[in-house]
Amino acid sequence: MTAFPASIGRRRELGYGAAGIALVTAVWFILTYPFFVEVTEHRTYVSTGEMHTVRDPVTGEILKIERPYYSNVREVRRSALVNPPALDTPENTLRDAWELLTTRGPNPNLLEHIAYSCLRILLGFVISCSIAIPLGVAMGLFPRLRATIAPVVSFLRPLPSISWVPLAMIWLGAGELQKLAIVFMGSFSAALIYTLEATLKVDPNLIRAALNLGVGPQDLLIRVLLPAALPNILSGLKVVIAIAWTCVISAEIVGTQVGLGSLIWTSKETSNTAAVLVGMTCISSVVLLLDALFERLERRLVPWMFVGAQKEDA
Amino acid sequence: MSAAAVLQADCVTHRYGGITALRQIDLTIAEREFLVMLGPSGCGKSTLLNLFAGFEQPSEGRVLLRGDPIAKVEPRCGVVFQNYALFPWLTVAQNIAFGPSIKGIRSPEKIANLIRSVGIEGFGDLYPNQLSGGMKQRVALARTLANDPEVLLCDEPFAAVDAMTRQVLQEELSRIATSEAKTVLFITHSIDEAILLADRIVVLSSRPGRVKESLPNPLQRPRTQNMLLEPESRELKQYIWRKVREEVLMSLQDSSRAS
Amino acid sequence: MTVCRAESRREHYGAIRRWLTGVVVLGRNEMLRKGTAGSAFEERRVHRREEMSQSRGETSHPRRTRSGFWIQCVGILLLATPLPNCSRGDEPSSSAEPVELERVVYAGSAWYGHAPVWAGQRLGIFRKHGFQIDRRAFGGSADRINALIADNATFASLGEVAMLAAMASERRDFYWVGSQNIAPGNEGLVSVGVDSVEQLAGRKIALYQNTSVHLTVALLLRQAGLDIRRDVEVLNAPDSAVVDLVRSGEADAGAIWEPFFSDLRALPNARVLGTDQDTSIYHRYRTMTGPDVLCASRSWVDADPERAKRLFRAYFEAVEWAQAHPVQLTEIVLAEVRQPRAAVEAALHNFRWIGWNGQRAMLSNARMFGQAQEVSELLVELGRIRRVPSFRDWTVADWYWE
Repeated sequence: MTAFPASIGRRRELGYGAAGIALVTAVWFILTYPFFVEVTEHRTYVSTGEMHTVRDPVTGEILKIERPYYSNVREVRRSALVNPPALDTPENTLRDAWELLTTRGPNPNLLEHIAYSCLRILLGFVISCSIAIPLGVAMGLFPRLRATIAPVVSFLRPLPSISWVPLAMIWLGAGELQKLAIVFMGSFSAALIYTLEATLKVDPNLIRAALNLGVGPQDLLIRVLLPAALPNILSGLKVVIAIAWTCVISAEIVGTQVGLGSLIWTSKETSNTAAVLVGMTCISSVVLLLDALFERLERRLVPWMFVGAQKEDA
Repeated sequence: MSAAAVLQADCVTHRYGGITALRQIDLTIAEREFLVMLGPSGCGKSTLLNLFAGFEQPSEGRVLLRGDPIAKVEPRCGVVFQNYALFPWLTVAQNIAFGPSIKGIRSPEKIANLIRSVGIEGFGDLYPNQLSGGMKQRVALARTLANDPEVLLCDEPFAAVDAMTRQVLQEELSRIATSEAKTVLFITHSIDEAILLADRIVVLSSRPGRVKESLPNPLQRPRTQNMLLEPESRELKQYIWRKVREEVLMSLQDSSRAS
Repeated sequence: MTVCRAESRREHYGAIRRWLTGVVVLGRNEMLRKGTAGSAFEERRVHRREEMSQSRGETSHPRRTRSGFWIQCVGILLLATPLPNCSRGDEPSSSAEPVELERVVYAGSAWYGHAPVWAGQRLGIFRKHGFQIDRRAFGGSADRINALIADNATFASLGEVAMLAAMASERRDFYWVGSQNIAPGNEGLVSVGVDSVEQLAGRKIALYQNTSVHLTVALLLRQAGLDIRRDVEVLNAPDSAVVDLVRSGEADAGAIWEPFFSDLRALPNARVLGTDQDTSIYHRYRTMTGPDVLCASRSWVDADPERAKRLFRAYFEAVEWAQAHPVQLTEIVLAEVRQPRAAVEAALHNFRWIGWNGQRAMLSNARMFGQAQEVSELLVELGRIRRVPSFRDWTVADWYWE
């Protein structure tokens, strides 16, 4: 390994990435393509019209019913390595996705699912950050505050969002507030910790230099500390928004018919694997999109992190 | 206290974390004097500079600026840091203009003059992390100068810069100190640098720090690199080195005893 | 906020061992309670600990720590394989019992519909027919159907809606064995501040979606000229949450089954707008929208149909006992379930248990087959399933005509 880490250039990276996706799609295709011919035997009901009279065991009424007969049917069926509902063929899944996308009826269509989920998650994320960021900065500045709140944060941090569902339902019912609360609890401690670390990592010499140049204590926070901590805060937030999206199912498990989490959970109850895959794909795509948007935002807000060193001499 | 004294440390003792960094140290810096402090590691040079800057308060004794005690961070004593401490979110020009902009003063011509005088013309719109070490130190110097401090406190500012750039920067600092008539307190490990820059050289003892020796520099301004090769300079260097060496050995003994 | 310090390799290894023992104990308890193997979460924690210990650098005693660690892992895996366990309500055992009992797994929950199995175990009915029942709790009907299809359970009582949904997805590996109870009047729609079903237009109704109450409400609304998809807002909530939503005023009405139905009726200003007995399905087929049905794993049944019939004869014997002894049944249910006596009695009062001889009538067009057709059509309309399944193909109704 003469050069480490080695790199192959952006073009080639995209090329290999596309090949990776093609490979996964090919594997999916092979797994679900009905290569095999399966002969299954199962019964089917045969209606002979042979009527009998029986008495209803509960009400005692006389009923005229047909005697059931069954015949064994040999079904010659094509089957694949993996069959529905475990995994459906790519074309069927795409067809289901298209149907879900374009349904106009009273059942919500995919865009509505996406929109509702996005609104809930983003709103929860924004509320969470607007409390976590000031609190994190304050904790960074005041060690006594930090020490006081630290045990509470340690307790909250490992709790998965779904563990908040029972309490949230008891305290807030099953409306939108409950969902926002779940997203909030799922993302709050992560945002707090990232902000705290970003504040603690600020070079103390910057603070000293600023004081030395005449900055007063009130200006210190806004003109020095926040800009210095901002790059680390933003990169932490990028992680937190992905964390907030992992709360989508816990948030929508109760109290709604619309939303990607609700779509996935409902489809599980009716064995609709295609819809589950569609839901998962949407979540993934939305997070990737948000990532890209966030990166754009970062370039705007912290341009100095993205300029390369020109390293002029002396 | 002489009327021309700008900075004075009056029987200062400073302790932190269970160690005594300075013990009853007395130091006076006169108007327009370029004072260089030399000493082994850990002898308290940076501590004394921090006290002069107002970053800390002495445990005992007083530090005075023109007779007034330094009770808080003092913008009149501008500090040049070893690791530059430039604000990464501001461009070079904005960094330099930072001090005046706090006071609400906007003077683009002054900024431009400073940029010219430290020799970084054309780099005003770059961000600090696009610059090399030497350039960054020039910006740091310009930023401190933009605030018009009475005293410059330099904490080993050229230690992180490569040797050739360092020579250039030394000459520039010397030139600016003369032209702007600044009083300078300069900390270094390098005896050559001390001889090149100092009007007076102070050697500090090992921890706890006291003034071991204070000698005026026989070489006159303006000093050049060639003057370092003169026999006078060599003698001076040997003398200083003997003094410093004693302290270095003592501080090594102390640290081996402590571990 | 916490920092982990391990002074020496030994201390660290001891900590790992203590922790893994805890995991093993936890895992075993979990498995006994739920009848599933150790969770993926615990496995991930094991892997994380492994990473942590490796990042500390096992250089001084690599062989000892590594082999010890792998032994622990193997121990965990061995413990995680399903073992026969002791379930509640074991049959009375006599020490001189050398007879080999067939072990079968029943997937159930705390719902009263499982009472025949509880009774059958306590009375030794299954033992008499040569079976030992291993009871495992599965939360929802969909989970139980999945368990049957994967042959993780032998037979189960579950909600008809989940069964029809599985049929609609062409999942063939289970049988619809019978219809063992009906319990009309155990679920209904209760409102606070709304006087009639028509006035629910534009309001919010809390219910447990994709279950029988969902269909009941859909029918009640349709009978009043409203469309559940367009004219009301449905708030999905499980069990007790329905009561909480109506009580807090967040929902104008709620629909759920016992015992929460009683809780709903007990709210101030509560008005029962309708029960499952008011639906068109009840009028036509004398049953509710989503009664309990009895299903079994196809592979288990096909492996030995005579054995299967023996098991279900035992089951239906317990069912017939339940119908004949309501008082003792109440006692058995109270012993299994933590509910107040009054609620249990009220709910069981509505139950009609139907044994082997009654299955002929139940599995016919006049009853469950007709009902299943209508329920399937309703599910298609609500967009829950794609098409109406030919559900008769999953049945074994000819058993009851032998």
